[in-house]
Amino acid sequence: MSAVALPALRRVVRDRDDWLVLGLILAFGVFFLVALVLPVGIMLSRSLQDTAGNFVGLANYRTYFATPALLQSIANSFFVAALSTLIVVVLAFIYAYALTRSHMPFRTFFKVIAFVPLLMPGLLKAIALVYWFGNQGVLKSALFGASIYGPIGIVSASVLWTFPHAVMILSTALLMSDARLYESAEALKTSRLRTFRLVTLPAVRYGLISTAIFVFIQVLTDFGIPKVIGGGYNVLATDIYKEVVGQQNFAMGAVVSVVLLIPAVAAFIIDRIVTGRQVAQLSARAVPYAPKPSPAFDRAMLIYCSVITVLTLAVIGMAQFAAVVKFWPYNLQFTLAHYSFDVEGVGWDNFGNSLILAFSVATLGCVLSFVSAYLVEKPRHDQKARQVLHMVALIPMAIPGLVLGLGYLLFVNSPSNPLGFLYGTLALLALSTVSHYYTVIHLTAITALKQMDREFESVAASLKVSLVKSFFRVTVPVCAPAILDIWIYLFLNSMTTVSAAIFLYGIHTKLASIAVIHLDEAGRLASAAAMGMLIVYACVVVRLVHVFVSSRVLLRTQRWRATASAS
Amino acid sequence: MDQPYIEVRGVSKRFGTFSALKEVSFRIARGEFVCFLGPSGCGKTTLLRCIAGLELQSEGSIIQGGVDISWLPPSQRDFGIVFQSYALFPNLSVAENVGFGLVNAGEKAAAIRARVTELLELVGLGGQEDKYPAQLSGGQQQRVALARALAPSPGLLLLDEPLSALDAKVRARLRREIREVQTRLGVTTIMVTHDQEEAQTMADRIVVMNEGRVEQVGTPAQVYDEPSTPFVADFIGVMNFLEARVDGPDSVRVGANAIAADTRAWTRGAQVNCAVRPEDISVIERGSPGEGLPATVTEAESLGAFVRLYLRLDDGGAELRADVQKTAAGRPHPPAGQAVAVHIPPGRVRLYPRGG
Amino acid sequence: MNLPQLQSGRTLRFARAVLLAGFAALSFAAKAGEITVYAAVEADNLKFFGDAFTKAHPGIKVNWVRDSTGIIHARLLAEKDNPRADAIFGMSVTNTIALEGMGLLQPYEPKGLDKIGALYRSKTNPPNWTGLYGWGSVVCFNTIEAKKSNLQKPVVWADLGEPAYKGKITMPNPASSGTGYLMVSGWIQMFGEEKAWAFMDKLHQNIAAYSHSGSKPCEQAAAGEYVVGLSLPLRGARLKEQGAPLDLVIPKEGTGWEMQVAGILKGAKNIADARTFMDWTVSQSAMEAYGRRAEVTAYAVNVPRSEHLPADLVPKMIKNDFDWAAKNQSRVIAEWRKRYDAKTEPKK
Repeated sequence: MSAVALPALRRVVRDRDDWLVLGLILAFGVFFLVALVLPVGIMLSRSLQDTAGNFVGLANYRTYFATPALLQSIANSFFVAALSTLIVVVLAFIYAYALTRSHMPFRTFFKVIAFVPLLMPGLLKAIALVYWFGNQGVLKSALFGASIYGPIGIVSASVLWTFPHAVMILSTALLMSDARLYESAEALKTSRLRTFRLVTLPAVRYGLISTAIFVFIQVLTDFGIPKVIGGGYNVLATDIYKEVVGQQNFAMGAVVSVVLLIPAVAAFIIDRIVTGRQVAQLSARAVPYAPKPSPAFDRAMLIYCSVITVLTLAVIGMAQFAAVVKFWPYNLQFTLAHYSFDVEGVGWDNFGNSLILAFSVATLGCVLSFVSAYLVEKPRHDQKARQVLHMVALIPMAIPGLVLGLGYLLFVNSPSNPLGFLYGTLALLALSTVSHYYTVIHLTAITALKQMDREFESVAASLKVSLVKSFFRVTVPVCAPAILDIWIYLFLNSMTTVSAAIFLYGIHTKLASIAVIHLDEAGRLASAAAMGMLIVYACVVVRLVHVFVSSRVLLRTQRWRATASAS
Repeated sequence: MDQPYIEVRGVSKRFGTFSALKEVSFRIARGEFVCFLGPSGCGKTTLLRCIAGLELQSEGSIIQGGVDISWLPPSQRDFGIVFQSYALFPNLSVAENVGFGLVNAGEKAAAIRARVTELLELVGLGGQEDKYPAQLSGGQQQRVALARALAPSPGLLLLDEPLSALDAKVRARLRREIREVQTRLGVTTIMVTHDQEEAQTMADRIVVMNEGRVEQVGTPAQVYDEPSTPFVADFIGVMNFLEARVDGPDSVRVGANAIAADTRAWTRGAQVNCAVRPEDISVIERGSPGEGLPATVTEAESLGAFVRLYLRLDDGGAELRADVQKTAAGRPHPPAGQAVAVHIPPGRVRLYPRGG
Repeated sequence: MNLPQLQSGRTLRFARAVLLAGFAALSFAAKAGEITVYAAVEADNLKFFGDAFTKAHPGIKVNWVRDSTGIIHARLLAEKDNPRADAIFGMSVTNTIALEGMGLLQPYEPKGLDKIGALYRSKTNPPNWTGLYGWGSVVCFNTIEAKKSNLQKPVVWADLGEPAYKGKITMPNPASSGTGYLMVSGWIQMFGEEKAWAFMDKLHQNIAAYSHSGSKPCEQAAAGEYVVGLSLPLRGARLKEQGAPLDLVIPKEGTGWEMQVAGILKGAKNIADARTFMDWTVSQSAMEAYGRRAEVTAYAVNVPRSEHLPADLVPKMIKNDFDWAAKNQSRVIAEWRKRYDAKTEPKK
């Protein structure tokens, strides 16, 4: 017998890395408490109070459900969200399919084009749509007498807005396919259509479901589009606007927010359940699929993508047009006068604020989301805490920006809050923006991390290499493409974001995207378009710089991939 | 084994309501090469991960080199590990992968380079320092993983199905090479495998596992020749089982026929399963001298060096497999349908309790 | 450990830089010679008024936070227990009465108060707020589109209820826009509840869309999206300047209107400068500035008004009971929503 003591009930020994992980999880707990849970909680708790702040139980809900407008708003919200989802998923799927599965020329160009709508502030898209399809629109007749103001406008603008996101998710799903399945199908002389039905669709069904639910929730919770182009078509998101901004009735605004949260959360849970089943779709030995030329198919795809491109360029082109004509539609002379913004509080400093905000949000969000995803995916201990962290990171997607912004407003202004000094600062705007987009970036980081061998951390531990070192030496470089994607995604969205920011900007921190709204409110639609186009130019420039820098970074960090395919 | 290097004591592991390990205990001597062998889901990988500290056991303790490491994190244990997936860092070169653990130990660059070269030579990959993992074949990648695991000179080497992802020829070669390296370095090694041939050819001792329990610990010869449970008997190699009843001090009865067997440990009349390897059975002509059970050949298949005969006992209809040398008697094996007799030598029969 | 240290060091430095940039923009801090004013004034007018103030008091820097009435009001409510601003400026009187009722304002008697009529100040003494200027609602009428549809200019409000206007009119939704509410409140005060609702029932049949902003309808009329936009005359004047084919019509019965006011907030950090600011808001020079941009000022000043404004605007403004408008706001809006808001399908 050896001389070792009997098995004792000893506590688990944690090493430095384990403590670091626990510390970081707790830090994220505090972060989410401050940046999400408390603000949203305060806002939603208002639904149980009267306007003076007394607790009234469910009285507000009773009042609200007695309003006949309610059911109509719910039905309308569902209708536009469902219709937009259907259209976007179909359009984006074909587009992503063409990008990833065809041999058509100019694929890189088309990839870039798909992201153009991301560069445009919401109001700019609405202006473009009105100029095309409004009652004075160039293509008014295309609507056969129907009005752009209403469900058609909401759906078109929503489709335009969510298309880039959908293409992004679906391309990823389509890229992760096993070539061996296609080779077998070919060997069995399966027709292209049948292969598509039996191999492609099942492989991407989770991607499709995720896309559908993402688009659905986004359209459901967005108020910007229905506000500017929805006419009198009531949806839940504009109901919140009416209560909060129109009548300053926070309690009712909170009630509608809760009502809106229910379908959003439900859709979200469905997504989690369905995608949770997605295990080992792609085995370690899968071979990436490389499309083969097929003239007829490639030509069809080229035509399709060209049509989408023309539509996209038509929208942005019209927005540019709107910024340089004297007076639509009666005086179409060219002018640059709209680019001189001679109104109070609108100018180039808004622009500087937007750039600082976008850079900080992109960088902060990148770091936070990647670390939080790493904490959820990789460590050994604290499983419960990590699951909670994951769940919390998924909440922001279901929270409308307006609700988040108002929550922040109430939160930082509560007298007992030591963070009150943040009010009106870019720091607070950055925090709220990161929080607003957190779900998407967190999930992107998770996806990237899931593709890494799950034993890297075990190996590193066995080699006594610290978590920090293996994180920076292996995890970060390998995931560099995803990190760069997150960065630019956040940057572009921060440049155009309005909903949460409108309550939070301060004297010196007004953003260009808010200036667009203010110009529109001041009756300077063309100047609003001009300011919007400035945002577009900046986004394009940053995007190009990003492409350049990315290619440098990727060249350095992804050399191994290139050599892999070369060997 | 007076001072075991590794001692596993009563280790259990539960995932929710599922018990992956049930009171597992055994010891491993310094320098030994031990295989954990069992079907998938038997708990062998979980056990390996508990030893590495990648999982924490629900109960029990693990001692390495006289130190209780049961609750230590992996970073404070002394081991190197190789996974089925290789888990090579794809963005690092071969040399950087191998040197990954050395850089951390604060060694000088020149010393590290020398050590990396030495290790790569050891695993037969000299001169491949600057390649990326993706440029190597599966077998080469696994060698890099091995070199990386051995780089900090761990006291214990853990191999988690290291060869399963490779094709048969590479696998056979690597088997020998791993064993050679292990013998040269004298590093205590535990390898998880579901491939009994791998275990038989590589291990000093095998820990056979099933449903979270250790069935038997023994040398390859012991687990083959003296399987201590019907599971081991069945899992290792091919085994015939005949239902029998203890008849006397030196025989059991299969149907109407008696087979010689050592039954001293059994009470008379006990229901047993009588296990015998196909290669121990001799198939003889009906009516030839000596004891034999009358049987009929139902099928014969040639397996290279020998022929496997499928037999049905005339009495009771039990099925048997017998392996006979092709050239044994210098004559062709009996064809299907042939009536034969089966002889089972007394020393080659093992009895296991039946039913209940 | 070289790489991670380097990286995290760089990250930290960057984070610090970002944070500093954030805090450098620290707003709402009280400084002598500096006040924060929440202004619900249109951005271009605010520039004009702000310049006038700076000219009069170059020693005081005003940090303007400009937004729509609704957003400013929401912010003030949220900041109730932790006030950030010193004063409000250009807030609609209806909203201000609500804020006054919640005790968010502090009384002050600006120099020159005696020049202001009773309608243009709060009932308390000293007043919680004082009036600046006012604007009414107007019918923005696109002459080109009217010709195309063969529509006549409306003379009385009831004309807009005629079937010829079906689908040609847009107006702000009173539930989301103060301008929308001033129209509804004006009609009720002019016609009495019963007749007013009967008129709106008919009008509703002709409305193509309710917008969420008070100025949008005039813009839509100016751009020919619809023939008629019930909106603000100032916006109409601005659009006419830009070349819009608009006629600004005020129906014979008169029109509802809204007054913009200013006041000092409770919890103001720089009370001295806030008072100077308030003095200025009722000064002659301020009134002259308003006069160039608004239809009616708290007391008459002799400045040229925009030639595009309808001449008969001031006489047609109804005798407005702002207290009534403020007190009945939620009731009227609830009734309005019950009648019209549920029916949302836009008509062609």
